[in-house]
Amino acid sequence: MSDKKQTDIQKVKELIDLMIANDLVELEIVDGDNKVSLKRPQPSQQLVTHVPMAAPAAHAPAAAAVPAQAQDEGLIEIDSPMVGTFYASPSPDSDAFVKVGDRVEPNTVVCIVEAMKVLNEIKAEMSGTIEKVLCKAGQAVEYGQSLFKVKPD
Amino acid sequence: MSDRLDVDAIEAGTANRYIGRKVLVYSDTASTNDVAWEYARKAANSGLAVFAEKQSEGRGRLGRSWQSSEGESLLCSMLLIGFEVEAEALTIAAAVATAEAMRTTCQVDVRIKWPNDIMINGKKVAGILVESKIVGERKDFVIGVGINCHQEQEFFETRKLKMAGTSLDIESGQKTDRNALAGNLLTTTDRWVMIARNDSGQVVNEWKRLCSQLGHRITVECDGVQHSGHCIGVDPARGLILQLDRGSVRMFTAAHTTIVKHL
Repeated sequence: MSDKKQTDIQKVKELIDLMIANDLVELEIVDGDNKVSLKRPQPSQQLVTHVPMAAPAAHAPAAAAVPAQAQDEGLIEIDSPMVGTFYASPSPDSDAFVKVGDRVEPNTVVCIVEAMKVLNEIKAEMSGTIEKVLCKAGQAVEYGQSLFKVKPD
Repeated sequence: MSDRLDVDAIEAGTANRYIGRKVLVYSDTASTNDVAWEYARKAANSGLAVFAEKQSEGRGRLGRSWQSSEGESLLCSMLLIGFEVEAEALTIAAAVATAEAMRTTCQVDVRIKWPNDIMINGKKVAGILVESKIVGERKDFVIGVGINCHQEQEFFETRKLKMAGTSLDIESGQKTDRNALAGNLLTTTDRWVMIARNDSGQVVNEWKRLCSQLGHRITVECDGVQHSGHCIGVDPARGLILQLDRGSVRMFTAAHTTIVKHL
């Protein structure tokens, strides 16, 4: 019971970070009987931000109960830490940071996610081999969305 | 108050700029110079400016490292593709431009220590690293600039540095507006690089005005050998000009020379 509460608090914290990162003033997620509604003061600068809200279930506490490994046995996913645009290479004319079969270390940069015009290099944060690349350059990605599947060492 | 680098703020007023006509901001990268080189694959990217809040493998001249802490420096690399200019002249132009941008933004008295150190009150506040690559007939350059902005005294005391360091906040007594500094840096670098290409004499004159060595007796080390003499000028292609103690005049290229003693 207290574990579940802990998970919920963690999720709410993540949602607040998501709101701050994207300058959102209001956020509401309805998932069956669960409803989360968050509001924060108007940011100094009014921003119109389009945030894809296609999969609220992915943010709901229920998602945490399903370990990522279960979906593709033995593989671990590298998730996007933010809402943004996915880029596979350091420049549009460069080779991809990683491709299927490449070895990665925790500090290996695997892609860039651009959010609010800031380019964020995403690191593997694990050792293993890239098994699947799940996104295409220029694709919009969501918070928590899987970007790669990695076979851990 | 947030002091994060903001692409829109930096790009404001870039209408007629060649350098900085496109701006990228990274939260964290190994080296902004490396990112700029990735973009050198396409000639249309010439003029690109890359900024980062944090750099894990920033480098300086002669394989030295450039240390910075997240959000406290201005780290910028500017890409020039197919540019007919001497690397030495470009270093001088970048030094003059960086000094001017700092003076305009923070009202500080800035001096240049040959070839690529920017000093305030005898302490290093910024550094420049110009890298070049020759691709067939084409010469490409990346001008990397690192400026200490918000570091406090402690930052410099706790690190082993080749020379005493300082920051713009320490020297100006005010919090540096990094976005304004970034915009000014692009504007001044754009102007001085174009001047360097057309008339390097004008860049040399400004460098002479700001140089802390000119007219002083200094000792340099070139390929492991020390030479002492009076600094009488700089040549945009061949480097620092010394009137040596034993009478002759000699040029020292930046690529192989370090000032070891400056009185």
